[in-house]
Amino acid sequence: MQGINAVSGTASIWIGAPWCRPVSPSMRELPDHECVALYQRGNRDAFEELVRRYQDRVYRFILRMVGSREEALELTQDTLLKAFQNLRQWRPEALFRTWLFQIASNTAIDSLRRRKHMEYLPIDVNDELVDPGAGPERLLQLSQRCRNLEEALAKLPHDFRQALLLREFEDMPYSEIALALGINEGTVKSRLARARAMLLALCRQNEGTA
Amino acid sequence: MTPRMTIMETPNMNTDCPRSADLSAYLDGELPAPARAALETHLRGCGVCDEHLVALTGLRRGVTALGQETVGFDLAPRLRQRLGATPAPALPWWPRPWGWLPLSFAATATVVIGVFLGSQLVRTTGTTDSSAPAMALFDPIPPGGICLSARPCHLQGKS
Repeated sequence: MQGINAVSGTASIWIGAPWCRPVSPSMRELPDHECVALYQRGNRDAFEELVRRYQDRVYRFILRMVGSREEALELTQDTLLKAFQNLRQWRPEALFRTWLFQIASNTAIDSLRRRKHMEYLPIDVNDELVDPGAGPERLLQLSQRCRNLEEALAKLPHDFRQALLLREFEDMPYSEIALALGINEGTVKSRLARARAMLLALCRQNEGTA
Repeated sequence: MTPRMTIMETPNMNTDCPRSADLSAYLDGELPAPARAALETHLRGCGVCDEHLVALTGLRRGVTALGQETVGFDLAPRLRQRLGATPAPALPWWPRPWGWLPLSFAATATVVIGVFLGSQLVRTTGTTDSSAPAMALFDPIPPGGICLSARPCHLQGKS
């Protein structure tokens, strides 16, 4: 099977299933907007690279918004699909990431609104998330702390949670969070402060009752 | 040096306190330089704020450590299937330099065919004898008639 390297234009050979073919290393180094431009010209490698870059990040964000892995997986696909179907509306002046998380945020909120009740199931804490090198007692302590934190996060109002997730998981500056959520920077600042204060209080409460 | 504290040991802080928002923004590196300098001066003399900052730092570490889940497989093939066999080019057709070409060809061809057919018609009209039987149906004198009157002579009792 032979393909053309999207960037250099040289031919490359790959073995195995078409969906397993490696994305060229140079493609991985391209900034998002260049990948988008290549995709718009019909480049399949660019499409795969953008999906690879964002699928887990969008999934993690949505998972903590809706609380269910199955729903998060479905909404992640919907988000990416909407993004690629509506790329005409994206302007290179805005970061692709900001635009994508704006769609992810709207998709998650729409899904929460569709529910009859806004019940959120805290995510089960996987043992794999905890440092395997830690001793059994420490492991238990870390696992408990993670569970407490997940439960506390689940109790935050979703507008606070959105801002906090974009800040902590995506390391977005306030200006970018403001664009993604359609609010001003002052509101981002106050939402983050209140989210953190609430989270601290909830963690204290959880640790106190554990 | 301030002893490191866990979330449990952190003193409660009024969430509406303006310092709370500033501490959070300070942690994110989002305070403008004068405000940052003022807060740092304040932190040196305020144990409560300093402890709150330590708690916020610990909280950040904890939240960041949570985000490790993955989809577990490549979504690209599924998405490509849903998008269609190949990703549709999302660029509008008009900015491309070749975007106008088919339209230009079609327009030129239409004009050329129109001019050609028009010239044929003019040429045909100019050379045709108006008394020819084929066109006589449309003449004021029907074929075989000799009277210029619209009504046939025999209907007026002149036969």
